[in-house]
Amino acid sequence: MALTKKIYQLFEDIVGPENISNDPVVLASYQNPINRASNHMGPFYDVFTPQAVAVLLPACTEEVSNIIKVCNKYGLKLKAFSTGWSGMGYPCEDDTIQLDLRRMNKIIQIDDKNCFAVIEPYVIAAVLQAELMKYGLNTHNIGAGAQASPLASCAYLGPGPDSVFMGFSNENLLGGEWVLPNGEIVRFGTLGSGSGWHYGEGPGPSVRAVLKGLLGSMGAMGVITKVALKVYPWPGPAVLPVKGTIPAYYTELPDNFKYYTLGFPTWQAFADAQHKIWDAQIGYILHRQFNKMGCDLKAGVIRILTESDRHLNDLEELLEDPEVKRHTEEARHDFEIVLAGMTPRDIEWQEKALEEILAETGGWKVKAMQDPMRNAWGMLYLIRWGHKNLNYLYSGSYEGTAGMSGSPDFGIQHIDKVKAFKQEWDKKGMMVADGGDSSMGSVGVIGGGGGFGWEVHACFDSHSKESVEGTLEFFDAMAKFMKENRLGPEKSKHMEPMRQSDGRATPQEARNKMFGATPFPIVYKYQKKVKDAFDPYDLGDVFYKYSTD
Amino acid sequence: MALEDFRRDQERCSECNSCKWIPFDQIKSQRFAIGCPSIAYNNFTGYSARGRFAIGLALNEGRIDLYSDKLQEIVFKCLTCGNCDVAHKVCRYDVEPLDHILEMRKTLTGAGQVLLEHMIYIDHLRKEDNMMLEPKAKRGDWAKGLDVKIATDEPCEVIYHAGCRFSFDEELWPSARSAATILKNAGVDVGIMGKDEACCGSRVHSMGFEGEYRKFAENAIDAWKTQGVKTVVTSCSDCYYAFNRLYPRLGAHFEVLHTVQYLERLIKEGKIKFGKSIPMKVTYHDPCHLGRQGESYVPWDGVAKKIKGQINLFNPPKPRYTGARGVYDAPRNVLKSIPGIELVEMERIREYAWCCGAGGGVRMAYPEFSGWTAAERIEEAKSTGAEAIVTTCGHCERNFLDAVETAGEKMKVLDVVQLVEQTM
Amino acid sequence: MLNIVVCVKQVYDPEAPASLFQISSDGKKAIPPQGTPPVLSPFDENALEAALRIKDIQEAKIIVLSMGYKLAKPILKKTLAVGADELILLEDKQFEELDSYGTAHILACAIQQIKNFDIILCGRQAADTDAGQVGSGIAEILQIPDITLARKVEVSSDKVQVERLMGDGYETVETAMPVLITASNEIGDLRYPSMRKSLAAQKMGVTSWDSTQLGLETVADNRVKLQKLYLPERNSNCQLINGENPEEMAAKLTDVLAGVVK
Ligand code: SF4
Ligand code: SF4
Repeated sequence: MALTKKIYQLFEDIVGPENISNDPVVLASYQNPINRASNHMGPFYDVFTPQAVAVLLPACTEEVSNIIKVCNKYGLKLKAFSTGWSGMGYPCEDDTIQLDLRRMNKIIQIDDKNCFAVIEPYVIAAVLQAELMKYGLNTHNIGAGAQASPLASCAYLGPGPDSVFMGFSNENLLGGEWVLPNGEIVRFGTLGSGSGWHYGEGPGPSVRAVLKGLLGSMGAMGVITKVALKVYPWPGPAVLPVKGTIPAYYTELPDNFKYYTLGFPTWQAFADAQHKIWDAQIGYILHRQFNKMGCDLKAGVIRILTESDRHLNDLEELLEDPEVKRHTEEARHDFEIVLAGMTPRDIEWQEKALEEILAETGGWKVKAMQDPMRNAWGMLYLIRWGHKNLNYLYSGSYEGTAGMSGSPDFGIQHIDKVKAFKQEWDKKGMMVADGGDSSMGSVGVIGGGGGFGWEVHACFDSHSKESVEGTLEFFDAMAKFMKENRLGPEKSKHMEPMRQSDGRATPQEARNKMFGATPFPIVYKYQKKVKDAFDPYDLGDVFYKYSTD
Repeated sequence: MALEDFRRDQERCSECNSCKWIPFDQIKSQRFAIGCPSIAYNNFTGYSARGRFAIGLALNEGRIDLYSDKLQEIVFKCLTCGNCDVAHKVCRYDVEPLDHILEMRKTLTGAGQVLLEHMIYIDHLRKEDNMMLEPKAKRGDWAKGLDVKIATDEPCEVIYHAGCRFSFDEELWPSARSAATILKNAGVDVGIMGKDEACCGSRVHSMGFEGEYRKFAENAIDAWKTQGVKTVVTSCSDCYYAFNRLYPRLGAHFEVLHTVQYLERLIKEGKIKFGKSIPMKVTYHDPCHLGRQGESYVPWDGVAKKIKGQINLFNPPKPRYTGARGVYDAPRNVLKSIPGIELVEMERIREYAWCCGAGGGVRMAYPEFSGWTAAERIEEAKSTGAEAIVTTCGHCERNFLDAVETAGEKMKVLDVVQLVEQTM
Repeated sequence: MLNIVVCVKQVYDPEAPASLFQISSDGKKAIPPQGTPPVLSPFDENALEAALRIKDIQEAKIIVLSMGYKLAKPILKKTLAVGADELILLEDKQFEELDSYGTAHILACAIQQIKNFDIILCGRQAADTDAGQVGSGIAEILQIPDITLARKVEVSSDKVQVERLMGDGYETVETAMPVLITASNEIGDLRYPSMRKSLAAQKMGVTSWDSTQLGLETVADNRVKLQKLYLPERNSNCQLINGENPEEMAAKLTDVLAGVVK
């Protein structure tokens, strides 16, 4: 149903006139452009997500619940986002109310004894981290960056650079407050039995599985308004000591912190080292990060980012510099590691273990990143994780393409093929020719390792139709390549079952077909039952994946 | 440039939302993590650099109407403080959030989509050459009885430009009088324009009134050239920005110094001697137009180019204004050299300092928003334990004075120059 | 009560710096200068001032009329801020770029729709075209007397006295109402709106009429065809005359001048 004056008034009564708008200018600012990625659903030039009928800014759980009840009564759909960075937070159908949760930004509690923090949706990771550090604690940062909401990824997976130490977001969920798609408020985990916020499975309603479903409910299963998150020790200063001139900010931490970029002679050594690191249970942050700028370009780009008066224009010249060339070669098979020692003996032990691992695998510490300034920059980058926008550095957009997540031994069998394939496409000039290998990803998960999340970036110019369309062609070709080589799904197609190229919901028939072709079609049929039980009024959109077959 | 030329910026904004915060690396607490006053106060995403890119694109594509009250509000309810620009440029090299906001303003003013509150000031400016709704005839009154050359009568190498705020805001006169006197007593060949001084045009420039700005700029440049002026000194950061960053685009070649820069120089040269000590704990507020926007103009005339397929560059390299080279140390050095003064820092300083709330025409059109922004800064100053917030801009000073008065705070609001004079 | 209609035109700011003025590549249109709001044509401001002065001393209602397409309300609302009672905008895509004839026609049509009018005031000419035709055109269409170039307007009972500019002075003419008067700048500058009134004006509603509401089926074709718009080329030459003393310089100057004049 369209938004009548009467319904508008009902919403206005809930949030107040200054927190609702259906002005065309405001609504236009809430349309996500799909020429830009990474939404894992494009890119498509000149396409926007459908316009919401109104945007509401609720302040608390009760307001959210009341809004949902009005939506249900009048057949409106609802989509909520926390920071609004990813395209999945925006409507894919008409007659949708957009909730922007930015007014719900309270850190409700930090329990430093029991190591958890209770937060609302618009508490971003950078803020939570800064507050936690005052208590000697730290939070898991998801790969999406410090500007993302730790709450938002709880109903997803949420891997990140520190997963080896701090796990995935959904693992850290210790209970919360959830407004169901029918407007009812559920307090789950131990909270639901009046026992506080400390355990996600109860006693009390245990709904984490419903919330997350298969790979996340992506804003289509009601609205989570509060969560308690497990937080982790931070053996560093109460305030990150940041120095330096923009953009070359850096931090000098005490001796119990070490950051290295580790280089290896072969992919096999690269994988072996990961296993050994997991076995040794060392590492605070373990991630392949700087390679996202491309194996041929990263050494040059790092110099630009660490020298305040440099410009991107210096890149070509820098790449000719013998030292930069050496850096490039040293870091062909590399990943980053931050060690944090809880005691002096701990860091000593971790360092020794790392030395041994390097000796056993023939690896090394990439020399260029041992330079004190670059090292201090890298340390800050990895700990605060505040440079997500670098993914867009070259030309305004990128999308993850090949992903070969799983044991590192799997990915290393194929990465060179993927690289060669991308290099061929790079020659067409529609993407950034970065050397072919621009893979990055989180190394390991909590509890002793197990996986490496490969994601190969393809950077393109979101302002150029040619580049956008050329890159899309590449994604199609890559998808085919991956299928032929049995490498798993191509990442840019990740959202295809939900949103199609015009920004709108994929028709159910097509969805049924796509889900039917996956390894576990039964899950999608089961999720239809969950959907029917929890969302009787069809409030949420198709981002909760189900099949009606 | 026209808004259409910003399409590439609009389409390359990644929606990362960095522009709503101070640089993430610099966040020290939740309380002082936000960087953009506009989004913090107004909440809808349109009131951020990100949102304005989305709206600018919608305008360029004809998806929204240029003649809309909401559009007007979104475009003008921004302080043009440039915090967004800094936060954005931690990672990006090819997109200009602040220039885009200024261009949107020019587009709206060109179409007559102006705010009546602004037009009151503009109409007045056209007739009386000032932004303070005061008669032109009173312009030189601040300098009455001062023994300083009048530049229109006798030539001088250095012009001290008081600016509209210091010329007409009586409470701030002592600061301007001190500046002119200190310079003169230090042996500088300084003069003032007295009643013939006019607005620098900086404020109207930030409000989008390019035509009005140019008239004043062209006149000032002509006048100074005729008088053989070599150096222009001002105590107002807005004026500093005009002379330092804007006028060179119109062919001005004067040395431009803020009073604190001159003071720092004189202190180094031993031409200013301090006497009594002022035991006081102070914190320093970086004015946007002296700090992050205080970088000097670098001429550029170039075109976009691509390397490695799709890396966007400019040929020749385009100057990059990140706030890295703003004027931050001069005022701090002056403060530190005053006996007795203890300088403590707020959380948001230098290139990511929180704005005072007076800029971009906001004080005129949206006084509540302006006052809230100032009050936020006073809170931050209080959190350092300082007794005084010291600054180097009349507009900041006035907005803070008003905020302190409204809230009944005890915080003192001072100008660096005043402190220097007190100890001499 | 007197009913006064004032016709005002929105023009590009004639005082905008020349460096911002541009003409479209086809030489047919001025490009709106970025960052320079349009203004009320200055003579029209004088006309409004004349109306306000009448209203200062006797009961009167002032209706302001402006014609065009996508008019700048914030600029035109200034008329309400200084004391006009009503602002009617004649806005239609077809009203864009009309010539004087067409404009007079539309304005006359709107005035007929207003019905009650005693005095119509216009500026003597618009700052952009300087044609000076519209005022008299309206009078002609409405079949009422027309007094141009007014420097003073006074109303006594049912008559209007106007001081009308002449080449070497002025003449005073008197006529019965309704009458159309075009104002010159000698009438005086438009008063300043106070802040309070400006804010109040912002909240006042504005009436808009399009061609249908004016009962116009079609709008007459322009009778004037614009051939070309161009920026005048200005060349200036500066020659310095040196000499030991003023006498010598003066002598040299007369020589040069004689050479040029010859
Ligand atoms: S303007 Fe810059 S910082 Fe803001 S969302 Fe866009 S890219 Fe990010
Ligand atoms: S200039 Fe200042 S107020 Fe305006 S959008 Fe940027 S940060 Fe916000």
